Amino acid sequence: MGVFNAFQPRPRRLPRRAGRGASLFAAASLLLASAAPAAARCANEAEQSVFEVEALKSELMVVGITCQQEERYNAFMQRYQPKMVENYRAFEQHFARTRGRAGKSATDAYVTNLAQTRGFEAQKLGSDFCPRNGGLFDEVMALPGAEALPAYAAGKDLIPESLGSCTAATAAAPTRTAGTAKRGRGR
Amino acid sequence: MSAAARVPFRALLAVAGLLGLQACAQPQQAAAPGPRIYAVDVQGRSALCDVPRGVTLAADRPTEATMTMDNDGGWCGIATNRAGPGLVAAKPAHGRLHVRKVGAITRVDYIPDRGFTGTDSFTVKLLPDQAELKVAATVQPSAQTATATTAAAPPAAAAPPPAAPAKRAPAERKGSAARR
Repeated sequence: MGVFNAFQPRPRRLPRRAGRGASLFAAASLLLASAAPAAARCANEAEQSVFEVEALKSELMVVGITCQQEERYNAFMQRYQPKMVENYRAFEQHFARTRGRAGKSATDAYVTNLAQTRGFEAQKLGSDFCPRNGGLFDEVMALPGAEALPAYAAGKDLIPESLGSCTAATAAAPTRTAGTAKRGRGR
Repeated sequence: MSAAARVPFRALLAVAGLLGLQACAQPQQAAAPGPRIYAVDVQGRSALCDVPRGVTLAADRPTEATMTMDNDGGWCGIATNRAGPGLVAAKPAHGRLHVRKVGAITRVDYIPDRGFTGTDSFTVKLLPDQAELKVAATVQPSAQTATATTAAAPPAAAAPPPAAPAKRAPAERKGSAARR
């Protein structure tokens, strides 16, 4: 539990929201997905990896909480602690650079949307979700080291087409920030 | 006598039904011991996905494979003889990769960007021995999508006129009569 607090004060609350806002967000996602010509990717490969690793963390968090495997998520975070801290810093820096003062809220909005989308995917899989996705912990813990994490995350296709990364994320953040911020303050 | 004869017949039917159900259930029980394959991992395959079947990777040298597929929103995957996680060594320029465990094997799926046609390539290393798989993909426009859009377009354009004039007819007549 301490690991959740240390690394993810905001995402820790996400799974509770995920259930309530999932259907609304799913509808928005579907609309966005049908409108987008292709998933936006970062021009810079290193930045793309930052988004992919963040998406992996979000997926593992959803698996950990949904499947009562918090210890496994904590073990993952403990093992890759320096890498995850470094990655989250780069993730925040991207939004700070592209969104200026609104960088923090844009980061939070993106993380929230990511977790909600993953949560929605979990709902779609129903009872298959835990037995199928629980294997991610086995895989991620079998990696030779933290340096393999970006290459592993790149093969998981965890960034929703509706969210994209970099440019699309920057463009998508403001509209959703207001909604998520309101919901967050209300609780 | 006839009533007594009916009861065993019904019982026979019930037993036959149960036996039928049992026969259906037995193959499922037999299939249970192997690793489970989830529906989500086999759905959404591209209509055209021409790949070598069951690629055997070598630990000491890269294995090359080709892939020809339609860009219809689906994936095209290469099943390998490895069961470990995959590391993307070279990303595709025009699509995404999904390296996933499907039953006892690891499958490398390629999903081209929407609307992309042409050639793409990527390299994945599969653990535990980092066996390398190099793939050259050829993405074709979806024939089904093209046919569907051309076939669907005329009815969509033709459908509204009959419905709209029928409702508007009385008002239009009134309006046109008043104007006249």
